[in-house]
Amino acid sequence: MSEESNFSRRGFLGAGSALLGGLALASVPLDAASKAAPEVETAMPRKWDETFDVVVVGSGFAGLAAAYEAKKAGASVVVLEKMPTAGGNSIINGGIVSAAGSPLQAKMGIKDSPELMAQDMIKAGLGLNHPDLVKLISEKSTETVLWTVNELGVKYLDNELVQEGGHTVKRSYKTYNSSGSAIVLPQLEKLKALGVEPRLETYVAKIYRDKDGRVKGLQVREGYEFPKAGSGKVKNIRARKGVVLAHGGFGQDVAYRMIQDPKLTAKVESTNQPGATAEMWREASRIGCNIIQGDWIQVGPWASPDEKGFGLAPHFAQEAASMYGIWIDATTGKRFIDELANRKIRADAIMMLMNQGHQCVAMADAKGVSRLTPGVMTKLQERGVVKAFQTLEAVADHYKMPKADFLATVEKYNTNIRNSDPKDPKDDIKNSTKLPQGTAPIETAPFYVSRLLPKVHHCMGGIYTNTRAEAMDITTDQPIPGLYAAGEATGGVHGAVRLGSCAVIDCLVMGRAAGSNAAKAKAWG
Amino acid sequence: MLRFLLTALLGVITFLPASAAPARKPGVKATACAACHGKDKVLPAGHPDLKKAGACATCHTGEKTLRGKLDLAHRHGLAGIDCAGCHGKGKPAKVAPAACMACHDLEALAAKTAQAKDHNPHADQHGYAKNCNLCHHAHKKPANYCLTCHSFNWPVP
Repeated sequence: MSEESNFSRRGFLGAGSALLGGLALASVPLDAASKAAPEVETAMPRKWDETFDVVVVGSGFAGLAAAYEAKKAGASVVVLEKMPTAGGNSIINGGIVSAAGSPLQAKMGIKDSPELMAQDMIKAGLGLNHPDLVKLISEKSTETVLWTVNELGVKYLDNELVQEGGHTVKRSYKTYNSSGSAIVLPQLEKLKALGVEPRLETYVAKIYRDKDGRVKGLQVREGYEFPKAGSGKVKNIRARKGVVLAHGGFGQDVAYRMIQDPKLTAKVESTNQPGATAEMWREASRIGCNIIQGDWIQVGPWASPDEKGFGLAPHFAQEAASMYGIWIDATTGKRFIDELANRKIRADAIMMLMNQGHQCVAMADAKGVSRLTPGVMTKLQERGVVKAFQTLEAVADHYKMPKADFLATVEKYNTNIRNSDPKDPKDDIKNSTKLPQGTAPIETAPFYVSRLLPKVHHCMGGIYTNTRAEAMDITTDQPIPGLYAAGEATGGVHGAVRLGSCAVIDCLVMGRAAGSNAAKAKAWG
Repeated sequence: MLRFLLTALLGVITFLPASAAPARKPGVKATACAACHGKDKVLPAGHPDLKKAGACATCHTGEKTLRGKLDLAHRHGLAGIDCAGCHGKGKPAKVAPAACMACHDLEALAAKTAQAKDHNPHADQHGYAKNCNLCHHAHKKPANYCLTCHSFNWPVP
């Protein structure tokens, strides 16, 4: 096909989609040559039903952080949430937060720096990460975790840091209950004290972007019943200073995620809450946001087929088996991956073996699970997600492993650990990073095992923003006036692979930036 | 094709509500079944006349509980809580959890369900238990909201 005919075909498609778009797009000129100004305006409503300085979409870590900073800066604020509960995926998150060079690391004798954290993120992210965003988040990580402690009253474990795959050192604070709810609930309480409570079952149907390029408000549906499209009563809310998009990812939206990554069919389960759908991704695209890296969708390697969603298995498979134990291909009785490699490398390896009919499992001994939050192991065993065995032979029997190969695998690992310096333990497979302090041979019964099943977990891509959390225009590469974005709704921070515990800090740092910058913006009308 | 059409038509006919729930009439006492239900038989044969029978709970305890048989609105009504008791006077508004909590103490409920399997539904770490409406519906089937993400199989009254 010649270049010319290719061009005209595109022109034709463009006209077709504008027609399908109906009224909303009717004012968009079809002439491709008039590219000077953003051509994405939406007809303004005849009247605004309500007015706020800052309108926040989403009630997870990022949205609530934005609302809090905006409110404290004196802005009037409303938080919109389409689901019947606040907190989104954040309230069911695993509760670990990265902080580089933290007081807890100092106390535990761990050397770290924001530069090292940025290096880890960019290495796993295959260099797709925008360095300025990574730098900002790493540099602000410790002060932001301390802010959650001092300002919000979040409780973390006193003497415990987690090392997720791909991190060079232990650097993740762990909430007392192993859940993001330990952060979201104090956020909600603090906001309530300031008079801001998320408006639940309030769906955003439209972003109003005017002829002058500015985002001026939202069309919402109050009393929306997820997932009933068209439910709820239409209302127009004006945003005098800014709209903050913190609507999260689309892990549960099979249609949209298959457009980005066709492998992720309905068969692939997700760790996300059911509201993690893509309506706002489509709407942000429509009004001229630049959605970048949308096809980098993280599949979490540590989930289990024996419970729904994220569940509790990742705590065992990561914080015990991956850090202080090993992962095994039960079909061969051998290790198949560096257990501390990043999530993508591990999930891909498991999925490849599963496609060959293999079963992969995670294993840790009594010492390995001793650092888990009290109660987690009891629950995991009650649910049948983790099984306990008195001998390694019993493990091999239960999972139908070739016994001699499995025993040799464990012995080889144990020998590696025994022969290395206890202060600097080494293993020839787990070598993408330093092994966590406290690594010991796997020899203390009972031996605990969970089955591994990767599940769709996080959208690395999203709205392109600058370090002021301003959403950038697809046409001009300049900030869209009146529009900010933060959290999983945005892209470019994590690149190809997000490291565990880096999303929470991203949400909090950028959410706060979005809220305070929106509050400082010049009001229109 | 004809067969398909016939089957479809039959499907439509059988789907037509034979005895749909009647419209709610405000101000009607819960014991006056006929005021809303007309001649429909709503009580089992041999049931004592509601206007003469004492409090339901004198008979309906243990295995004879009305939980799961009657919706929350009826059970409240039979216990003497009328529409306004939950909805307030005037145009009925959505019942806020605070209205439920005026009678039902969350801590007492949590103590009552402390032995529930896996997790206590009234003491969850997300704080959802504070919103009674997530699971307990007065005019439609109750639903276990926790099933959204978990497999906790509790009966919801």
